[in-house]
Amino acid sequence: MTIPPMNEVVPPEVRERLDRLVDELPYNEEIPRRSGDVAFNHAWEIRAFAIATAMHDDGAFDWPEFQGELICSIQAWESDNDTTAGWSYYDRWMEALERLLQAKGMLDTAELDRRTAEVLSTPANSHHHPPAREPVAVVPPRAGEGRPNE
Amino acid sequence: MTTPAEAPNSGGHTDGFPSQGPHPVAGTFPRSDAEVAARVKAMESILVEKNLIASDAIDYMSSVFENEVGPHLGAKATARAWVDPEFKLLLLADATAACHQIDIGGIQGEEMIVLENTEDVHNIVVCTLCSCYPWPVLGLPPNWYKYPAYRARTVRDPRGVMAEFGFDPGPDVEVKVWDSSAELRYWVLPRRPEGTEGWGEEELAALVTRDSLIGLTDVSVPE
Repeated sequence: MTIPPMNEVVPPEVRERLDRLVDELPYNEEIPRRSGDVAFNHAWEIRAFAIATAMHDDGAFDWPEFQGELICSIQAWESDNDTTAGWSYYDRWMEALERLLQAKGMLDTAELDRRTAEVLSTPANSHHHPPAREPVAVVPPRAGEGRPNE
Repeated sequence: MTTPAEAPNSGGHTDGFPSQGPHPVAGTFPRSDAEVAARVKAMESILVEKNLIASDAIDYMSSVFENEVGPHLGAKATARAWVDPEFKLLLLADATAACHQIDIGGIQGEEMIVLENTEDVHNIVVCTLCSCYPWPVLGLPPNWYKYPAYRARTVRDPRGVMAEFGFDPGPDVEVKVWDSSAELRYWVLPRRPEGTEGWGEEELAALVTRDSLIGLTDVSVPE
């Protein structure tokens, strides 16, 4: 993939294609929206959404297959829960995606459980640099060039 | 809208949907956001490792919606700081606590520091190593935030990077570049634009852009 310019804007046709996928989803009225557009409340929801749409786009599965799993997941949740407390469309989304990928032999639930536990037990900073409490560069007024803080 | 019964059957399945076994779902699925977020991350890492999907492809799909979560929370905190001096003091002293006060959560163990832009100082944020980003406040990072070009150039030539985004902080202003890490994440409190005296918080928040909270631009009133 070539790196697009920094101020890249996603082409409208990609957005439209995704909107069409969303329109075909079951329990469409349950999808969180703001001003009519699909809305997300957590970063992981976008990531889960992106994994499913990217894999479908890549030919890993047909959209109706995912729809079918999503219907099952939502119906099962509804039959097991009397209230709307705890309801989350994207929890069901993740469950549907997991089950579909497992059925396709692409993902093993036990492996996913193990990896999830690893993620949860990994300290937030383990792969990163320590906190930098001073600026890494300061460009003084009326100067064009950076002066890295050594 | 498509109801479940009418869901299109464009796939190759004779019965419309893949065959379903019993669904033993109750009680086994993770409930907390931290758990499900970890599960999403784990799933992505496994799929990428197995070459079933490219990380770039997921990034690309995410980028379509990257503005849908987050920046509005940073904008809300910014607008509150502009109208409420006490909140501003708290935001600059302890951003995590200030954000909690207006129901913006984060990940435990992560510190946030808010850098105030002034007449004399303009702040810009980068993660020189990867793409550490205050996502509870700003949402997902834009794709370019992860590019080596942004990471390296922002340190070397922050004014040049800002110019690419159409912004010039002015020759009299000192520019400070801050390096975000996983446990210490920076974001910028932009200056309140002139001509917004008496504006309400919601009106003000609508002016605040994601790029201004990273420090690439300032906040301006549309003409």
